[in-house]
Amino acid sequence: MATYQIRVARSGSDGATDSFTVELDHRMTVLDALFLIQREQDPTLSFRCSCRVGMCGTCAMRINWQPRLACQTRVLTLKADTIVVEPLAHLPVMKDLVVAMDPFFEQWKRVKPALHPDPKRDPKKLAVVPPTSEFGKQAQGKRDCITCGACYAACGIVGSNEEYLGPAAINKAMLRLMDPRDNAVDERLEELNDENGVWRCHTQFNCVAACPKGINLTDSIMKMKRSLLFPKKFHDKRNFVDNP
Amino acid sequence: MPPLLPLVELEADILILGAGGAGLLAALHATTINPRTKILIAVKGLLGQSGCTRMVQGGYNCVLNPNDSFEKHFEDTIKGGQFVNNQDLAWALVNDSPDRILELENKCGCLFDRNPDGTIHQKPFAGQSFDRTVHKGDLTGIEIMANLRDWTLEQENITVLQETRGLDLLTDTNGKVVGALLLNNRKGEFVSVKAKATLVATGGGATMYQISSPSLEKAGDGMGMAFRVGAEFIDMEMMQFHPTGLLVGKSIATGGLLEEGLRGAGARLFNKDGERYMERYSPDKMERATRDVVSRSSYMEIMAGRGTPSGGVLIDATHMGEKFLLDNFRGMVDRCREYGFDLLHSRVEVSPSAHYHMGGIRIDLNCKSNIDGLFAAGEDSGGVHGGNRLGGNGVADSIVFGARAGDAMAEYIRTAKAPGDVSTQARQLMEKWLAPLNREGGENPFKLRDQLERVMWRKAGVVRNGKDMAEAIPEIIEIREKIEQANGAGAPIYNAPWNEMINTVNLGVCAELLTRSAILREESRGAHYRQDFPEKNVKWLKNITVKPVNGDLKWDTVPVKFTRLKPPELIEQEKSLVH
Repeated sequence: MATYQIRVARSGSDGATDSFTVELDHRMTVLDALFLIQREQDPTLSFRCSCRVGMCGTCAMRINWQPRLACQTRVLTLKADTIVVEPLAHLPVMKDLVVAMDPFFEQWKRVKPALHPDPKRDPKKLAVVPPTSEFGKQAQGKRDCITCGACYAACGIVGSNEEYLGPAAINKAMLRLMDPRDNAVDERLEELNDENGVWRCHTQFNCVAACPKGINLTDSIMKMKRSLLFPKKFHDKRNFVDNP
Repeated sequence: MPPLLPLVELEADILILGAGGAGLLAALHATTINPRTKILIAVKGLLGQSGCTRMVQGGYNCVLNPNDSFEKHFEDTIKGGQFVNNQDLAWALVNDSPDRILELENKCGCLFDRNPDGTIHQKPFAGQSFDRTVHKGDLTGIEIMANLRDWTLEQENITVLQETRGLDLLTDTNGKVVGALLLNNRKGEFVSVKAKATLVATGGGATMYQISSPSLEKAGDGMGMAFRVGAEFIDMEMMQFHPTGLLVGKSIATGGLLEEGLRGAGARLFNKDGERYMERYSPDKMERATRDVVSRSSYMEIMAGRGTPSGGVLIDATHMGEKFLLDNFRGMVDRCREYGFDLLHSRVEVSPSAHYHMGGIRIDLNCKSNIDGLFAAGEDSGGVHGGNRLGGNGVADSIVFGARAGDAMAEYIRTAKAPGDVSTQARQLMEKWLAPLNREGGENPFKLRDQLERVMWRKAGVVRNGKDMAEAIPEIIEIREKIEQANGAGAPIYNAPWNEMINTVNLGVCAELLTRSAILREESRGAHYRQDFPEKNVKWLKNITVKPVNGDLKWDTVPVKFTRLKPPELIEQEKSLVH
């Protein structure tokens, strides 16, 4: 067991933080610290958490100035006695560490995140998607997004331009665009080509550094830039699979 | 003067409480039948990101391969459930399951893992005669829920209230359910919804145990609400313990699972003396025995003093090799690593973890409860899995029966009358739930919840006996009384103690029904194991049902109808009668 100071940003009065002392063992996480504080020291503390094992993506927050999942951040690994916990940047604070995800999902909705099934395909047959095909390759590492908002909070462009799509929404658009089952190609490409679309990205890789699932978001954004510049290549890649 | 929170009054054709696989499939199907159906969904956490479908690891069972068959999947399900499943419900599960996978992929955009030739991959799971589990790596639920969420976001007929929980169902003078009173934690306001049909799909109550796997907000809310309006329950004694919950000391991560596929692929279990103890309990199937058998074996090892110092056993996957584990169980390797364990190179401490409630609201094939206007699907309902659920049948249940509920509600609302005024009733219920928010002093809800979890773990858990359970009843009743007097004071938004109070009220209902039901079943079957009745008894090929009547509990036992498959012991009996 070791003793940690947890400095938690509180809403209510501007810029206020509360400091708590908690005892944690070497396996315990920042999320554990927050639960201990809420249960034993200050029940008015608010934060989000559903799964507590890295699947729901609801406990993203700034931990020592980095956007991270609280449940996946062991305090030991931070190598600090004092841990500063703040709400994610670029999203309005609702209470303490709880932010409104609306700006993130407003951008997400712009790219038509749902599948728009191609009516020409037989809905009774599963698509053949070899893992070596373009969609198979992209889907492999890039469909793990848990919409935690860490990339959105880390992106410097989002910080200066709230109209920008942001990394997660572009990654989602890429996945649907490469999906041979989908039919909303032109609408999505138009959104991506918008002045607040992919061209805003300055390739700073902050999103990649922040993603708790290790998704190479910048790669997805670059792919989409190339698709807009070389539409024939994009369509060739896309039409790799049939529905036999 | 106590704070008086606002009451927002809304109306919908269909009200869905819970937005896991069951809730969203119900919305999908009702919308498909009539895109103008006005649907309101209340979800306790974030849409698509809370609840247990999201947490599904292993996958989804369905028959897709020509060498597999509905009969085989059905037989596995019934044998796994130890022949007390409702066979018509289980047959529906098996039959609908492949169509729903087509729908999840081709309509909703899920992409499950593929073979090298591009066809869908199906992996082995414990208790199954064929490799039929469709999956996305070892974190399947994210793929399902993210895509269902994206579909929901684009529907104009669907309104979603996030971070909003059901408190109580609203009824008319005939006792028919006509909507619900909700608490919007984001805004700190009550919401009353008038609806022609209401679905409870909020998830089960495994979180009533000290070590449990579900997402933290789950609290048997749907069952609690349904109980308060007189719903009938079935198989409440049947609680599944997953054999491999991580032990992470005092961390909230304790109880989080290492998925079943690890054992399916050959992972081994050892006690602290290095014995592969499954040899003693299930020499044929070893670690691939069904969850009830493996959990009970581990528990007995631990109780016999052969557990680790922190009260667990050890899972060993090292012989499968780094490459195989990283290719197939990346999520599990990462999950262990997050807490400082190395699944690739060493044994990892695990314990049985309360996982899934087979029991629940009694439903028919259309997910209708005994109460007019009230539908239930997913873990809120009971009967599909009997005494034990197979891994991979849980998410299939939510998806299949969610869809059935959606179809049935779409049909039901075509002729259902619009409900009358509910505001008087809503205001009365509101006052009841406001009391803890305005209370000075009173019980600590977190402590009462802990107390409930400890009682249930020690006295009505993996291994049970009549004496312990009889002792547990007054303790549960005391907790249920005290929680009504708990202190939930604070701000009306995101108020943790207030919500914990409401959670514990509902879990208390589930806990009492579970324990009383378990006392009645004087035999051992599936997940229900009695030290004082360690054998299966042919006389108990029955289901226990219960419903509240005039403040009392009305219990019944109903013989199982073997509409498709007879248990071998009955066939034996009949043979001996003939000769």
